[in-house]
Amino acid sequence: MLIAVLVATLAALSQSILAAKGGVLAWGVSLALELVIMAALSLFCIVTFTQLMPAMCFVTGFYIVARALSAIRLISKSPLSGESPSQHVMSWLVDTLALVLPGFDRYAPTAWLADGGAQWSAVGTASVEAAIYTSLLCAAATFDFYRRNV
Amino acid sequence: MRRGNVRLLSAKRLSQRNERSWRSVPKSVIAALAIALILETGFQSHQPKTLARAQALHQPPAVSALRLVSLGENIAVAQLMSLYLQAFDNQPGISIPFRELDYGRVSDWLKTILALDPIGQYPLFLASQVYPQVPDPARTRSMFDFVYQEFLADPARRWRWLAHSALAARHRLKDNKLALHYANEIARLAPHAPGWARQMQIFILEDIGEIESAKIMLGALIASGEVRDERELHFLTERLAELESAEKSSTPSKN
Repeated sequence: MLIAVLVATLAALSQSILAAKGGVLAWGVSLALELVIMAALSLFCIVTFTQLMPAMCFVTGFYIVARALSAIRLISKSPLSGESPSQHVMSWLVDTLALVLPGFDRYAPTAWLADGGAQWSAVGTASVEAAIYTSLLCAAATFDFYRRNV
Repeated sequence: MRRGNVRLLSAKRLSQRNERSWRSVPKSVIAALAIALILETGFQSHQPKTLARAQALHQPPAVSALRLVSLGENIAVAQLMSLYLQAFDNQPGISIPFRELDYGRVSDWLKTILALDPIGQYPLFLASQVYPQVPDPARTRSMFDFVYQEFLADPARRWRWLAHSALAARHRLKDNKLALHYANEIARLAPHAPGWARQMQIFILEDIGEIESAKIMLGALIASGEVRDERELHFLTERLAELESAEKSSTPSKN
């Protein structure tokens, strides 16, 4: 977690040269929360998978899906997608997936740096989500740890 | 190595070796996991639904920057940009009608693609046949103007797209003056274009009732000896005779 905060601080400091200070602060806090979740996920994966490659692949896949999930949901609901039963099943699956994944597209948006107008309410929501999700990952890692013969 | 020196462990043993039953996990840990999962799903289900919002087409990157990024593969980058531009009207969860696109930006994108791949014809196809489908004459004209400007840069390769624009201007926009201007430019600047394209101006003149002008141009074309194909020459001579008889029998009406 310290590493996550450190990386976010370094990224925010480099951005503060050009962007407005208020936007950079909100962006940096939001990025730190995103990285905290990823750090907790990485810890969970390395405990569960015990090998580096599967853990790394899972973390990468998780991040890409969590980032793109809002767009995937919009595409699944688009009228162009059709009304077939398979389409409904896919849409339902995507919605279910969205219940157990963090909405990373809401974290650290570039618009806060480029256009200003950072929303602290969004940072607050992200903080609650990060706290819940990190707790979930810690609980899952503990659950898995208790099942191991160390 | 002799057979029998190495004995692999069975898969069953490996999978069971490091794991205990989930019943051995303390109840407090299971409860914490369940509570966190319920909180997470509850939190996500109360999040406002993402709404599809159309994004405006931004300015294309500078040609010099694209050349640098392409590492010499300009054509590949031009093709990727064509795909991006053509797919831009279909964004996640929303489909943007052509009339809501900024056609000035579309022209900039097409110009950039042509700058990267000057021999490529696809941007001109998009500009003469796809984007002019919009039910807005001003936008259609802007696309035809783009085709005309690009035709001036390389008439030998790009005449066909201006020919299509001339026909569309005549029949869709009902702008005979514009159609005639494009047809004249093809005849003037693209000497290697096929006869039908270079003679288009004559037939547009005839269509709009400028029989006298059409007759003069047709006569000049036949007399110039430029048309060598006997069947084509026969067709043009017949056409000239028809024009002359039509002029005698009726008064030409201007469109």
